[in-house]
Amino acid sequence: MFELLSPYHQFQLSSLLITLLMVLSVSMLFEAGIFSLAVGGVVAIGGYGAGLLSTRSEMPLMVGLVAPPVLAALVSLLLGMAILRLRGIYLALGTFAFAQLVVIVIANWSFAGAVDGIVGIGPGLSVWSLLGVVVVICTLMELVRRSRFGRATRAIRLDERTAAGVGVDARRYRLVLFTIAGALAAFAGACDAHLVGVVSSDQYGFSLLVTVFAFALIGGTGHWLGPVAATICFTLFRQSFGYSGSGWEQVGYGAALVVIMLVAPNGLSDPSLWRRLRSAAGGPGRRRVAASSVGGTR
Amino acid sequence: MQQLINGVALGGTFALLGVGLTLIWGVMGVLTFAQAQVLTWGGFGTLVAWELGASVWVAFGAGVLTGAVVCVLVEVTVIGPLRRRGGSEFSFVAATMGVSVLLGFFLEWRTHAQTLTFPREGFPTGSMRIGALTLSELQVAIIVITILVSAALMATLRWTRFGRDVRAVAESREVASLLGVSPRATYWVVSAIAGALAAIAGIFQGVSNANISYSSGDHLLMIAFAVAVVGGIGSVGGAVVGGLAIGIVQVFAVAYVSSAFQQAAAFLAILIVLVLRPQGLFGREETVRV
Repeated sequence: MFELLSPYHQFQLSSLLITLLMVLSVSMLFEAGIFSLAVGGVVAIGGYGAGLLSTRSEMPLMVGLVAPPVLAALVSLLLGMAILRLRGIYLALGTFAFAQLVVIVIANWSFAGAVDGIVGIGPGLSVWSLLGVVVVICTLMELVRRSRFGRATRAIRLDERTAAGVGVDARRYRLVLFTIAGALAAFAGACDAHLVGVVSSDQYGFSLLVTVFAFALIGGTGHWLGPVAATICFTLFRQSFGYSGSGWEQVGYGAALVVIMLVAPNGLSDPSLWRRLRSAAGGPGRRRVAASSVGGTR
Repeated sequence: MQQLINGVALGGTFALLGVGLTLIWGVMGVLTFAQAQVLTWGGFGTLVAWELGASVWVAFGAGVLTGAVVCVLVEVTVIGPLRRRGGSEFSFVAATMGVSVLLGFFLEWRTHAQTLTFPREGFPTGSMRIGALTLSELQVAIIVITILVSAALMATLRWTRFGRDVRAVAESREVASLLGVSPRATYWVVSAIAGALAAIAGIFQGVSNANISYSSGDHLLMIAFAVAVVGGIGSVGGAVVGGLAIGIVQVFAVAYVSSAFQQAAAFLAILIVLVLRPQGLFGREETVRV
């Protein structure tokens, strides 16, 4: 393959694509009205799974990329069966507790390096295969969105009881989505471990959650394109201005979360926001038409 | 027995923070992620007043006032407007996460991410002996204040006109305002109380650790959630019992199991209670009408 991008830009693009996968896994759940804060925990399972498989065993890379998502899917399935019957804030709390618990377990697990984490994880997927994966997943999400499954999940978000009334098995749909999102986040975590080469328990904490949430919520729950666009814009912005990793970056996300929630509680891809903007822009024009027609009859 | 006392004293701090959290949750229906930062700000309020030369009591009051003001400001600038815009439960969580990051960053910026020494002179720091037990005066102060404050709060909510207003607003904002209760004023007062309680917890934390940093309250957030969940949402008495229980479990976990288990105890408590008894040990079961 001829080199289109310098190694530096390849790293930046890979990191963007991995963040995108995490954001997609979160926004996929939002679309069905599942407010899960478990993302840090499942990403950690993916990252540590890949890290352990690559440094402590002779398994090929593919195993290291596939096994952790399978494990995370299983864990998500079990967690989902236990707590998906909860709603709203309770579900948020339960999933948050799970995520923190995972982080504490790996931080105290001596086989996984305890607080030092794992270093020396070999390189993983090339940036182009990663791009391919993201394109495939986005295509799948669009296809699913237009299918019976997608309509069912949107119906569940709008009103679960009505959805159940018209024959949508809400419980099963929520469980399936929760499992898939867990696998996706863990895959992102595995890719991230291979990209950065290091995993440690503190990288899956509150700041990861705030970052992913900022992207997902700013993008909004209307369509997966919203979060994708938000992630790309924000990441390009921060990479080009060199704020990456500084305290100011987190402040930016914090402020963005507050402001976006106040301006558009459902995110920027919320159809009703655009209707409001359009009518605000079209409002004066219509009034002028009305005024001139009044003038005409006089 | 000695461990039990230590646990109760530790739990007192948890209970103070948890009571504020459960009050906000019960009355406003908002799970706020900013409460741990309110606690830290309360501690810093005392520290700053102390450095300006205030006496212990004035510094204590300044800290409590800081906590109350910060909490009311969060209500006025973020939670209130969001409520008027009809934000979902999720948008409150997301917005208060953002607030928490901003509050924390301000302190990190002003303190250059340093851990500062917290003044102890003037605060009760001696120890006393009762029989075979050695109690530090600080532990006694925490336990006494926790009991007094929560008893006063429970009595206020139960028997006064203001308490009736709060319960009415918690039941239904619309109906309460039809009956002449101002939900906005109620939210402000509840925020002030919750902020003041968090600040007291923050000051005690500062005194007992003898230091404070921009992130020193952060790990208490999950514990406060656990306290609220275990006690049952909106139940002040439940939060006190939950706080003490978690404090005792943590102390015994360090003494007999491991410190890892101590960190995990709060999260395990949340998961177990949510799975087995979502309404909490002292909460009423919620019935959802369709």
